[in-house]
Amino acid sequence: MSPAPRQKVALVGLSSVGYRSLALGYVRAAAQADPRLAGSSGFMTLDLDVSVDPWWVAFRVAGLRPDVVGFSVTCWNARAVYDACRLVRRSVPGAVIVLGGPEVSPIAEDVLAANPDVDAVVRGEGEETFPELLVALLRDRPLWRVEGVTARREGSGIVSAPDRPLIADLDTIPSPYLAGVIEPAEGSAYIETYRGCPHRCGYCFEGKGFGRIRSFSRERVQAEVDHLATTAGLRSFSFIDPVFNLTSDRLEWLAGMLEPHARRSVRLHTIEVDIERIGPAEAGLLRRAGVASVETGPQTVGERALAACRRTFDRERFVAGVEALRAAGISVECDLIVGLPGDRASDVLDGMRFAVGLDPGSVQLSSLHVLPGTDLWARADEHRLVFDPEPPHEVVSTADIPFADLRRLELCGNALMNLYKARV
Amino acid sequence: MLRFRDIVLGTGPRPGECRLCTPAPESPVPVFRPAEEILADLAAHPGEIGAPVGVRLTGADPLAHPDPPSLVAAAVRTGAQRVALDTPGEGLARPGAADALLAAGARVFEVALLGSTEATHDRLAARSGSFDALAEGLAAVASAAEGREARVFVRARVTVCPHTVADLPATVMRCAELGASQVVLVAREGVDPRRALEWIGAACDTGTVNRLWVSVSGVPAEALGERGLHAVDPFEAVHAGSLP
Repeated sequence: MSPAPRQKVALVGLSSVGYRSLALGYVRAAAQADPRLAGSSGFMTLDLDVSVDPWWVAFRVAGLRPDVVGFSVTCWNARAVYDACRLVRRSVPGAVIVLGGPEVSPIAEDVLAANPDVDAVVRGEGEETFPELLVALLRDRPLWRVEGVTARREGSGIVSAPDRPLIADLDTIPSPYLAGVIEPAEGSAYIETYRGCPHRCGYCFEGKGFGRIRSFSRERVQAEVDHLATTAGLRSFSFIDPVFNLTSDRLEWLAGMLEPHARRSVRLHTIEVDIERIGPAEAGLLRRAGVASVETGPQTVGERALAACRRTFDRERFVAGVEALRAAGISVECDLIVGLPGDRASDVLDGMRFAVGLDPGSVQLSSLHVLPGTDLWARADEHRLVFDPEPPHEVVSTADIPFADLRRLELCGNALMNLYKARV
Repeated sequence: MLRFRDIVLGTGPRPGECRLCTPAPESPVPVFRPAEEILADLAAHPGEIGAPVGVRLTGADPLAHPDPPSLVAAAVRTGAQRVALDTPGEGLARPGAADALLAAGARVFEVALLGSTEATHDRLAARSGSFDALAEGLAAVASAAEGREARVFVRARVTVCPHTVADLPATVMRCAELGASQVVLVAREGVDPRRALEWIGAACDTGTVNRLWVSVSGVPAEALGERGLHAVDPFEAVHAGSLP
């Protein structure tokens, strides 16, 4: 019988029903594989529904008697995480509470200042930083000296260590699927084939500030897909890549890799595509890959908002992309954002008319969320964007659309979306 | 927005008309055009694949037709993805009616409400039991939709006239309680805009705080002032002849 670990680490994901935190899977797989932690650290993951009462989150965490508690934080679960931290601090007083993720990473010092129960924030990619933090705890070294960590320093307040460089070779990160720390949830698995984004949309944190695209090797992706495809009950893959059709060559490779599984009815759902680069040939490749539905913009058709958000929109190519996908039997979800800087109410209505007029299959309308780390977050004052400082940071008013009209546009848009969905 | 071409089924009392403003026609029973004429109308403007044009069956209460599901099915056969029924809604309460309509392909129900209470609605509709039947019918639609995992849209039309105007906010509230997806306030000609606008504004705001979109028809957007967006109606009714 092996001795009990000196350090018990609980990783807590608060997600929507049917989702598991892939981020925590990556972090745990990396920490488990770190030889410096072998034999001294034990890991447990709690995947809970974000709507679970924070008292019960604390109850589950306390039952694990952890020394370290890590939460993955997005704008969608941040309030629930902060509530849980407050109760975990009091129910497990000795535990070190660590946060990471896109909501806290760009504003780590502010998060620590506002949440006295949190001990440290891991900034940027966690696969190297979090194990380093655990090693520092084992060796009784200060967390604020760990690259990529913001932490409290006795007598000096909150201190941020220098940023940690991006992981140069993503293949050095252990696969959470191949390591067995995460399994498909409800018949679906999430796969990441690269990090970064070719676009620089002002509202989006998809690229997470990573300046360039770094890919997992094709062999690594193939191994994950083959492993998952043989998992009992797997019905679909979702690729979390910001743009599935990143290059033609890559799309062809993915189609070839996924085709055998598509023949066994394993489907790809709601992958994000750059629709203006899809014609009949690309739609055919997506079909081969088993793609059932794709998600895409235009987010807005207003020229001023497109410029403010550094986006482009080619109406003809967009329409051609939807038609090519529809001809291939692939449903398209067109996304629109209400409240982008530069858009007037008439632009938002034009966007609705455009999207519904395409009859793409699905139209999704959502309010702007001004996310930490994005260009719009940094330039909110310049754009006269007013938003809720609390997550999920929904827009309150813009220079062109007052508060009440934003709410009206949301309701009108929702009525249109519901009418659109009411069909045989 | 989403276009619906009107197929006129016949003549009869207009759903939602205030009987204190508009006396009932001499013959309150709908008179339907011959079935072959209706079918010919439907066939003359087939739905285009990829073009989201729906069909609204209007002119006479489609639920008073001898075989409403067959009308809906005929519209679906022309390629219409959305078939709307323009009806007082009482007929939806008949046993099995809602489910049969959904089975045939009906997805949009445009019903009429004249007041926030049973007493007000029934008095203005000049039909006893009308409110209860409508409420029962909408519950039947919701239940049938759940059973069939179908998405339906309930558009509640509220006539704005001197007899309804002060009750508009409460009527919108009642629409929300009955499960409406949208309310459209239809201002009757001759309504005093100075008196009506205050109530229309309050009704719009009642919808907003209850997460229900309220459109206003018959009042120019400019007259609605800061509530001008309420002139926007996601449901766009067009005459068959005006389609390309």
